[in-house]
Amino acid sequence: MSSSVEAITVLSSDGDEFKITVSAAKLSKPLNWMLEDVCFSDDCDEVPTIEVNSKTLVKVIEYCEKHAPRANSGASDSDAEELKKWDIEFMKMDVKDILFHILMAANYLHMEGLYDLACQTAADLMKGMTVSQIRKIFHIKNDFSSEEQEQLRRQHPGCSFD
Amino acid sequence: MEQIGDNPFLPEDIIRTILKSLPVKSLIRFRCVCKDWKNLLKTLPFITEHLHHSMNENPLLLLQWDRKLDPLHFHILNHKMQLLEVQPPLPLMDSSLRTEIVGCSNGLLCVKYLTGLNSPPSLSVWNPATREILQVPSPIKFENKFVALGFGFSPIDNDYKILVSDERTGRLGNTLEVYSLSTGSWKEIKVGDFGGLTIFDFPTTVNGTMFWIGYCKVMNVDENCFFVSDRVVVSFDMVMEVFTLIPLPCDDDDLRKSFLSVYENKLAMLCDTENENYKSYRTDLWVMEEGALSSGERWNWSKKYSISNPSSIHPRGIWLDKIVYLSNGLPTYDEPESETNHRTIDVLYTLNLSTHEWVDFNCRKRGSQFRLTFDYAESLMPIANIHPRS
Repeated sequence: MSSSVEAITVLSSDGDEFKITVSAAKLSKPLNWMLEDVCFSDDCDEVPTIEVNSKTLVKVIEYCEKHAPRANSGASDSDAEELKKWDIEFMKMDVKDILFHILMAANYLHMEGLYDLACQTAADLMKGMTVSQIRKIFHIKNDFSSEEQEQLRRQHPGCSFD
Repeated sequence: MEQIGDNPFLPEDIIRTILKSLPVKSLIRFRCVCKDWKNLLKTLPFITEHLHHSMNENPLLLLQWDRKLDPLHFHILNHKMQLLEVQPPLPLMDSSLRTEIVGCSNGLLCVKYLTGLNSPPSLSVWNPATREILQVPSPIKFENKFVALGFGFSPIDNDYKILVSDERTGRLGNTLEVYSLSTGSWKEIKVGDFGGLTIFDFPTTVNGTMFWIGYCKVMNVDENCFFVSDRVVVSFDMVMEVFTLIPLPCDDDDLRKSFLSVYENKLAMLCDTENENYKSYRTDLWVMEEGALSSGERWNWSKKYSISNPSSIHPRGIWLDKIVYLSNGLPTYDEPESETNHRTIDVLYTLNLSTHEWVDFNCRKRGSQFRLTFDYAESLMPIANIHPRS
């Protein structure tokens, strides 16, 4: 890879082009491997595709760009504190409706920090949900027979299937 | 997340990671989601992953009010420093007689209690998070009177063990009995003669070994009052079932009180020590290294911290990056003018080891005070049907 490259271009699964700085791309192992690959040398025009949709990729790149300075250089405790606050806001304001897509993307791109953050956010949202709400968001069918439900109710008084 | 149609199907490993971040209360409810979830939530690998997550992300401090004369009464301190009350289950709630904690491991508590004035003592293992409770059968020989020396987890054989002695005062007898939660049975073990070595407290368990502070000389002044001296650290290897005596890191004579705790997964000793002028006190934190050491010794103590503290409080344990202090029950008027001048008697304090910041919790209740603290984490750990690894 040429040292003159500061940003790379990638395609989303929807075919849109996105720019990501080299230092931000280093947060993801697969992107890092791509960086070392020939296709980013100056004389190569091929643009790699990332199997993440545009709406999600925008947020993933935003996360990478925010976290890149700290990940690459190490930072003071006050920076870490500020970043933590930013993470909470990022999860609260922006990504709630695409949380599962973010989870899939963080998993696919091997981004540990974003993955843990998204898992914890999902857990916090699920905490107070009813069983039927959980089934809906995870596309799960109630596969207990009525006898099994009755047995579970006997074993755990107060448990609800709704 | 509410946009149902757009949510992709998540693969099992992602679902698993999310589930292990959930509190026990939600997971109990989510057993009813589907068969796959119900089965996953009761497997030991998942329960262990959840426990480790819970220990790291949500470590709790379990606080017990007055030790013996009250029924069990607990509070939990979380890492946001909020105090929450815990309801003990029946029959522990009804037992208004002597109740004591035998030990706490992996979210399970072992409790010894009396159900009536003339009835023999009972032992139960209790998971406060799942509210599951199991009454342990009586020991083989020590049915009517026994001292519960400890309860702890042994990772090598993946089992929880309870250790009891037949001596009333906590003296180590020649014969002890060990209960295994996985086999559900008691067995006798011969441990040799320790010449009156006595243990008063519940143990600190580190990597499958229980540790106590033992006293070589104990004289009864009366039934409730002892004169003790010649301290030593006593260890019990739960797999080999052998005791070892380990010398203290410091001179016994300078010690006012000493407590064992865990620091960076090693045995630690908190020494409440008198300074040379006999007017001030400090806490020394010692950590023990074990194994084949370059010095040729089997163990080696190193001092990590030495911090001054008011005379009215004792260090009781290490929790997060803090030393937890409890008041010694005596009002004091002799403290120097400083922010650590605490004149109330019913308070819990924490001292942050990196910032040296003191925080106090005035949590007086019915005239009683906190006596004991335990490292605790919420866990799905079942009490019945624990399967041994071998």
